[in-house]
Amino acid sequence: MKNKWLAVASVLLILFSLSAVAADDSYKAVEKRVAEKTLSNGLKVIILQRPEAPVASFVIYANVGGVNEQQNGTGLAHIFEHMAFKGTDTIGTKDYAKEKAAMDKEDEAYLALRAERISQNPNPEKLKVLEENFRKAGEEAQKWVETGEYDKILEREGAQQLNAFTAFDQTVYFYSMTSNKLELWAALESDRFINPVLHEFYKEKDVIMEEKRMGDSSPIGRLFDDFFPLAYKAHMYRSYVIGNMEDLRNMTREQAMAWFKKYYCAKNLTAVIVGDVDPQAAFPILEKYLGRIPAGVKPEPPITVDPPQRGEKRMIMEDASQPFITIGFHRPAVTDKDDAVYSAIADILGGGRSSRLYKSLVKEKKLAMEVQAMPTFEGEKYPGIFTVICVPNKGVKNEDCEKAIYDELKKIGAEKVTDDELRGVKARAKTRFLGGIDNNLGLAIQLAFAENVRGSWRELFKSLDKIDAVSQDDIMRVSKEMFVRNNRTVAMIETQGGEE
Amino acid sequence: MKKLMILSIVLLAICVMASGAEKKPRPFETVKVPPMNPIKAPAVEKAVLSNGVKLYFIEDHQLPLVKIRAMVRGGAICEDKPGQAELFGEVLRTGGTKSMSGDKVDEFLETIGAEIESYSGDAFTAMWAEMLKENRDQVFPLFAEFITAPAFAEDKIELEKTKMNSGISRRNDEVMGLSRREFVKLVYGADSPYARQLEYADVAAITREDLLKFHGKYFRPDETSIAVLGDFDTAEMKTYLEKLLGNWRNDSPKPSCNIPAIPGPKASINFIEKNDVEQTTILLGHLGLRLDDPDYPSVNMLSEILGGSMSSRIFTQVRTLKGLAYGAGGYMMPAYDHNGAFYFYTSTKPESSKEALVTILDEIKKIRTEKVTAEELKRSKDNYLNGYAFEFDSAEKVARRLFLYQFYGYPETFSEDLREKIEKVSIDDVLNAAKKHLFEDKLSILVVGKKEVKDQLSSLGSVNVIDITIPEPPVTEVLPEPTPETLKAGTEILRAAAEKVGAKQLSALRNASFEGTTTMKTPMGDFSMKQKGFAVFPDRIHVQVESPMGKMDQVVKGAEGYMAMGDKKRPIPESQLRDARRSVYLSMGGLSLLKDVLAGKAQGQLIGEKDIDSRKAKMIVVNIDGAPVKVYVGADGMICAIATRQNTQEGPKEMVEVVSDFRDVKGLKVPFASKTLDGAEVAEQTGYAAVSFNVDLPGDEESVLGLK
Repeated sequence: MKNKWLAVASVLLILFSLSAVAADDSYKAVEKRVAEKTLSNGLKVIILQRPEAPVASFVIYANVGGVNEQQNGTGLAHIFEHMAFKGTDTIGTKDYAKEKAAMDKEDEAYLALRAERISQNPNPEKLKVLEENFRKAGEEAQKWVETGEYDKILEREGAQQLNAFTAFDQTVYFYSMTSNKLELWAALESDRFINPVLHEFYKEKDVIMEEKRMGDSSPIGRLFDDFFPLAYKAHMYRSYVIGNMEDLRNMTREQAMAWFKKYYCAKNLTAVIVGDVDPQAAFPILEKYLGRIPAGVKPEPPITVDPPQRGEKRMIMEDASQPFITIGFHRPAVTDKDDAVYSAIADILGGGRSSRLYKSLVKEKKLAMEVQAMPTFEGEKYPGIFTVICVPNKGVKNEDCEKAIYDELKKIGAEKVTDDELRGVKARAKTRFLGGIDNNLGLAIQLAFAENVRGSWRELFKSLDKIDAVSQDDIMRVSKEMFVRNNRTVAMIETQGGEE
Repeated sequence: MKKLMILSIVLLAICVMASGAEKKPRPFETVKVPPMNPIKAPAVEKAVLSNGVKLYFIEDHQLPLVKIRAMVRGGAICEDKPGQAELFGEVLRTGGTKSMSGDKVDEFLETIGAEIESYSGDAFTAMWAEMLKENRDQVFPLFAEFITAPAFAEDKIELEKTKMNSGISRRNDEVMGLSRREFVKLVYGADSPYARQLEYADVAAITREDLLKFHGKYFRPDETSIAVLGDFDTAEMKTYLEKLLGNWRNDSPKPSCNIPAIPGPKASINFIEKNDVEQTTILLGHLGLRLDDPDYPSVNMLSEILGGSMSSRIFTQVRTLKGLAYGAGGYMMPAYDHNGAFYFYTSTKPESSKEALVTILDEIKKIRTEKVTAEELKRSKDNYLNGYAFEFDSAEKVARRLFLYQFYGYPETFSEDLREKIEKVSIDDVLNAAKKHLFEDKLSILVVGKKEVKDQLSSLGSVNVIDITIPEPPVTEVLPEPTPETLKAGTEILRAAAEKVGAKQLSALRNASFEGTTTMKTPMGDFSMKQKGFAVFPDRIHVQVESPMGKMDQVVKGAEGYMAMGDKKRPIPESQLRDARRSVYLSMGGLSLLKDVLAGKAQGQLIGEKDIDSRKAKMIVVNIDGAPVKVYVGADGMICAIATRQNTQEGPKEMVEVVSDFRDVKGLKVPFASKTLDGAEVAEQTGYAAVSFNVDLPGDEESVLGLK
């Protein structure tokens, strides 16, 4: 802190507020315990000490996701996420020098195959030969691979909740371990983000294509795969993170490495640890290992902005399954000053059994078995989509649900919500927030999100104040502006064999 | 000497170079890991209320929250009717209490950001609550009342049943849910409470009395445990709970629920056709062990090595090395009070279905015949032991474990005991456990996927095809059996009606032409459509409708029919065709029916008198095309209404067509107005502008009906 007196004053203020309203601002006491440091290479580290149990959750958050991809290059962010588990030049290989030579040959064989495959008139005979070459080159490379070594190391060390995910705005890697393994984690993580080696790249692409098939095997998965491109004209939120099948098929190892080099530099990474870790003891260790990650250049953010939607967009997917409907409305990024209002609207519309949509569609009109409202859907950092989804009851048509939903959306834009409703939003936000603090991993991920999406981890602790400031007029104003027909994208499943 | 020295130097150099070429320690291998901080298991205070309710208290003053977790013995294994426990568990909460309706509870809790929820599992019913500390005195009494005096309001039962029925209609849409459900049926038996698949008839059969009975039988202090966690004082809380619940009694005889018998594992290969998928879903396994089985520690290690992690054998082979799947693995999932199950799974594109399945089968065979490696066993043990601290990282986990151990009669130290046993598992133990408990020749194999995948399985053995068609809901009405007296009486009434309509003309009736307007009432407003056409009795019709979307033709010719608009033509499915044929037969006040009655080809069964559209009428049941139709004859001896069961968008429904405005056309009395009632609401109204009979059809019948 630059101003010493300001620092003292703020500490006093916190102590004062703690003693005055101790129970109420207990989460502010939690905020006080969060320590942060920017390492010498620009990598930001955030640590919250929670000594209740001798465990900790460790998160590496990369400020890169589907939104950074290009047309014809979809799925790359997620591909790299998978590849980050394959190892390095010392993990996952029996002999790196030999393996590298074999991988180079494998890449060559692949590029030749790919070139023929994507050409205007691929020659079937030539393809067969090239496929055989590629297969043989793969077998050669595989000889030098120590399969699954990275996974084995983590399993042995008792890593829990081991996983990673790729979303529009971020790629996040995490696991939990006993807190005495802090240094081990730092060593392993820094190693894989300094010199990852994409062992078994082509096999892993097959795995990812199966993952896409898994999503495509779900009727609702298929619907959302088309919902996003429908809602967005140009912005890369239009591309479902898993990517297009042909893009996946044609991705090269070189493209994945280029992605890594551009986006996985220290300035684009955040490390968050929540658990039984003393920040002051931890910072030097993190500097020693994570501080080695090349600083790099912070990549340019995506600049495409979707123009305002000119008219309602609709899609009807005929399917063997039962009806389902999703309705999206464009809204600003979560950094907008009205963000809390959007959350309040979603909660009043769909947060619980006494919410408006539930009361109307589920309880009174018996149109739906389930109805939900979400203030954003997947993408938050850039203009997103306020989404309502509805599962109609047996024998009920999508259009009947749609009409009932629009009635409620119109009402909330035309009349003030009640005092009780507003009170309820704030109370629920509070208990939800407090309940979330008791979960190391959840809290770590939320801190990472706040730091990167909203600009500072402190925003997480401001969220309750922001909800508290929402007024009935705000809700009416924002609803009225958002819930207009032109701003609407509707996608639905209709059961095959019904009326047209 | 020099030569030897040079040689030894050279040899030494070679050795140094050789060891240099070996792997030097990797960065993470040089990390010194300090000892783990001690596990601080949350302190648990125990108590018992004066009426026997067991209490557990875990104080945690970090955050101003209070949580309640309650368990009551009584779940699906205790049911008299399938689905009783599931419905009970839901409506216990949604149905409100004696003093507060479900809707009021919802509003009250949600306004203060608190929650009370419930559900019923196999052996117990669970309830929980969360609230800010400051709301304790408002929420706790309500929670207590849910235990002692839930209301099970009828409208909330209906609401839940509606949702359950919707769930049934959707149960085959998502392949994951469908596969798991069918797999559990294979392992435990389709009728087992552990496999629980409800049909519409099951849901319809559960009554409010059933729910009250379940509550009365199973909700008793001596079978209830409550844990309180969070920011409170134990002594004060204990006094408070005694006040709230101490007087609760249940003096009925203590019930007991038996663990259902489970058939032993039997080999089978089963296929379910599902074509709207991009992957084949494969599940295989059989009955497993109880958690307290002496062999469980070895089986735990076995299943971790075989399929329980990302470095397991199945994952490595199917996914990492062969790239056949994203999800691949499996484990033995134990149960506390009955045998759990081995459960292995993967999903892969259709072409590689057999390969993926065989890969898993090979791994199962291998682990039964060859010892696992020391490295694999050590790694699995390390994973378990290094993760042990996580069993104590939250008050909730500790409370839940305590509850479950006490409920199922497990010792409190079970977790520690299990850990010691796992530490001692040897390579031989794993092999023996595999031989004793895992059988490659007793596996239930389930494959769900596209039609052509079935052929891939034929080389593995005979394949059962499982039909997952959802049985339609039952017809709720049961009509009395006809007797010669009721048939005579009913037929007489119809014959008299036929006379009134015009017996001679009826006998000669061949066809009709008509023109009119039909108004359909929908949630979106009224839609009027002009229509005209020809009917050739008894079961052919051509109607042309002017709809808002354009001219539409509907043609029914007995066993076939189609709808056409512009150049688009679609056949009418059989289920709708039946309704359409019957509609022609019954049109215009039931002319074809009356004709058949006169000719002795149709009979009616007199049921009794009924009010229809605010008038008294005699209800006569006629069997048409295998389905019962209710014909109502008014005081004037004319047919005034006809009720049929139709397949609508909302499922099968009884629709009543009330006819009026009878006019004479060529000697026949026919109604020029009709309205169709859906319950009390008018769904549709038709008015004829013109009707004619036995007209000369323009061209021959076939072409007029557009059938050429």
